Amino acid sequence: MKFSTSREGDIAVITVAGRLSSAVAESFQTRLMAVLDENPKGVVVEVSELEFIASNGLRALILAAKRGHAGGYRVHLCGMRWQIREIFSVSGLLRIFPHHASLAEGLEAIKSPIR
Amino acid sequence: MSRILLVEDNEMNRDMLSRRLLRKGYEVAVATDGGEGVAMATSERPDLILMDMSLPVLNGWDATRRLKADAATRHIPVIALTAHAMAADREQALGAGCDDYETKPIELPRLLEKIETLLRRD
Amino acid sequence: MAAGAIDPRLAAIAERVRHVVGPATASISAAAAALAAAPNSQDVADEIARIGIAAGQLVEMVEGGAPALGDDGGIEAACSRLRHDLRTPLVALKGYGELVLEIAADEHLDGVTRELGRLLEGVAEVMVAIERALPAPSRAMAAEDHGEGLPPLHPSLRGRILIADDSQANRDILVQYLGREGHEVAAVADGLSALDLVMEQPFDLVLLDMIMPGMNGDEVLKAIKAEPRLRLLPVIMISALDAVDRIVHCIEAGAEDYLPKPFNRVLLRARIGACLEKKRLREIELAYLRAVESELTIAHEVQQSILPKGFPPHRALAGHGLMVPARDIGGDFYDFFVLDDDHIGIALGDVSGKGIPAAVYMAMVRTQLRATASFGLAPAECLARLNQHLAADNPSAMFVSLFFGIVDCVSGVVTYANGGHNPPILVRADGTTEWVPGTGDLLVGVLPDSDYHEAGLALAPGDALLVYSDGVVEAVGPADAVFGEARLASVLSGMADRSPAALADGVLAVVRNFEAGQPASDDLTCVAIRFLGAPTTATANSHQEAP
Repeated sequence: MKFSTSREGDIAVITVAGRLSSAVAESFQTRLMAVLDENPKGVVVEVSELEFIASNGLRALILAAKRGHAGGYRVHLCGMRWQIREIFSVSGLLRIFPHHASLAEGLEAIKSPIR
Repeated sequence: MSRILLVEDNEMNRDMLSRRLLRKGYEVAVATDGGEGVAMATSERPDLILMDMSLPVLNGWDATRRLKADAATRHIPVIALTAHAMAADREQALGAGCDDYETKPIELPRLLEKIETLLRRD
Repeated sequence: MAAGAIDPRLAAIAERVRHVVGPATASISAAAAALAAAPNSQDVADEIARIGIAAGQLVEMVEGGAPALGDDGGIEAACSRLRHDLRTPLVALKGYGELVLEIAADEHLDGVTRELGRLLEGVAEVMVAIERALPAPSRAMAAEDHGEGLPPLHPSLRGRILIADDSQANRDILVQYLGREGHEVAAVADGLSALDLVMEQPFDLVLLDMIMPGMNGDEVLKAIKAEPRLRLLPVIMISALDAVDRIVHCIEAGAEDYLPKPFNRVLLRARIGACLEKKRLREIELAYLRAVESELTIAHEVQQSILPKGFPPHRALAGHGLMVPARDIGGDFYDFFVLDDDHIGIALGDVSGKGIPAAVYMAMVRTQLRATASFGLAPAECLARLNQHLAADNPSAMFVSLFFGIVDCVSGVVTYANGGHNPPILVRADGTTEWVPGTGDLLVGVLPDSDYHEAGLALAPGDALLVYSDGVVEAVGPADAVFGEARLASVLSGMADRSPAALADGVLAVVRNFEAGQPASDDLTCVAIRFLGAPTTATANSHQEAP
């Protein structure tokens, strides 16, 4: 699993690639929370290279969404592959995570004042 | 006149303390080891016992325990004479049943006060 | 100790006593002598004579030389004894001094009084000097170390050490030094005794002399390393430096390190410390692994204990459930329970996470579900209540994907709710398969006040329903191929006529076959039910299931 972060102004951009198995889920969660500790104004998770996500990984994202709820931002997902989208769809999590086809669209959605 | 049993194995100390107590008007009997100390306490029934803690044959703690366990000698007050002023020694002495303790070198006035307090207790 | 050899540390102590206590002792001797010569001293001749004797005893002890090591072998104990011995004549000196002072006061023996004053001052000085030279036991070690340059050893770095050396002197030095460092030490003189001792008592380290009568050090080493339960016991070889080849050979045979003779204290501490540290780390690792194992075992037991023992017998409905846990359990469970004569509840869920927290959560979910269902609540309402309960206090964000259906055994209608779980699959009697539409609802336990919807499906006699966990469809085979829903549907249509047990087993077999030896990363769970309809419509093909 590859994890990298960058910034677009106040927005934290997290890129996750590969397989987010339960073995690496804890490390993923720790790093994700560290990014949120910096109090970004928005969070985008770029997942176009993500092949698989275990339930622990979903949990980490749910925790992030809850923190976002308290911190005034939502966690956006960009570029989900169909297998990943299936998982989010079946589990009902698409409702919680705004999702976009690409990173550019995701950033646009956050920056635009229209919610 | 009160009778004190002094149980002390060091000859010099035994002699020195006997003399000093005699001068203060006490009758003094001596024993040179713990076993003898228990025997004499049982047969002579002194009014008070001064027990050195580090004795041969039977050490002071065990001798005291024996005396306190025996109905005949239980009531006799025992003052432990300990070589060091370490807290552990004090606790050990009191734990064995000693009624008071005094560390060497003895401060005679203080010892005498303790002796009188215990003798008056009965 | 070997005859004639004096421990340098004890010699140092004797020197310090001479240096620190000596001067004050001299003043006591002088006062005692002056006393003997004082006017009117004859009246207290006896007592003065004793004072003289005591003074002499004190001087002898102070000038006397190194104290002896006793049976207890420790420097600390030797110092303690020395301190006690020095104080004994002092006690006599003070006592007699005060006695004579009293007599002199009563009988007006003025000449004696002044000298007595000096004597008693000297006694007080010596007592102080003794404390400086030989502090009370708790400070003795620190004071010593201060003089020698090594800080005291941290308690956590101490251990049980066995010494095997045929030289008494070496044994003594090592016992004494290591004992002072705070280690528990045992010493033997030959290899066979070492081996016996190490087999019957736990040690943290063995110091083995290379050359001993009977069994040699390297033979003992080999015997130790051959014993499975002593595998982690570190051994340090002691040898003279000219036996380099043999040392290398021993290291290859499993010795941790070697120590040269004559012993160097700094090296001794460093190498022993390193060995003990390594052993400790290995043990911590093992303990951790064992704890993880036991956690997994407990979690596994909890998981097993909440699974139903068998499908409730019913003339109209047959069923079977199976759950095959992955090594690190994945949190799957299933349940079936009777609600009344004609209604049976079927549930299958997948708890996020693993280990004991997941197992506990799972038990909670299953219990709560049964409880709400037994009140006659519809599946959606059950899920909503369950969700409220779980989402309310959930700092770790655990959740469960859950399918829950109530089968009407008269009509064959299954009313169900689905909280984020894989859609089950219908296997019609004729072999066609249909995916059961999901309700679009969220995983249970994530958000309070989530809505749950209900839906229904109708089972005709002979139709089967398979509820399963993602361990089935996400099973991975060679070249990262994924089992997938399509394959499941295809496999099932070929098993349409099988009993629920055979169906479930069949799915398991196909998945395992697909995995082709790859270890499963998730629990594999499925529940299969078949509606048999009213007794008169039971078909010849369907097997009556004895639950």
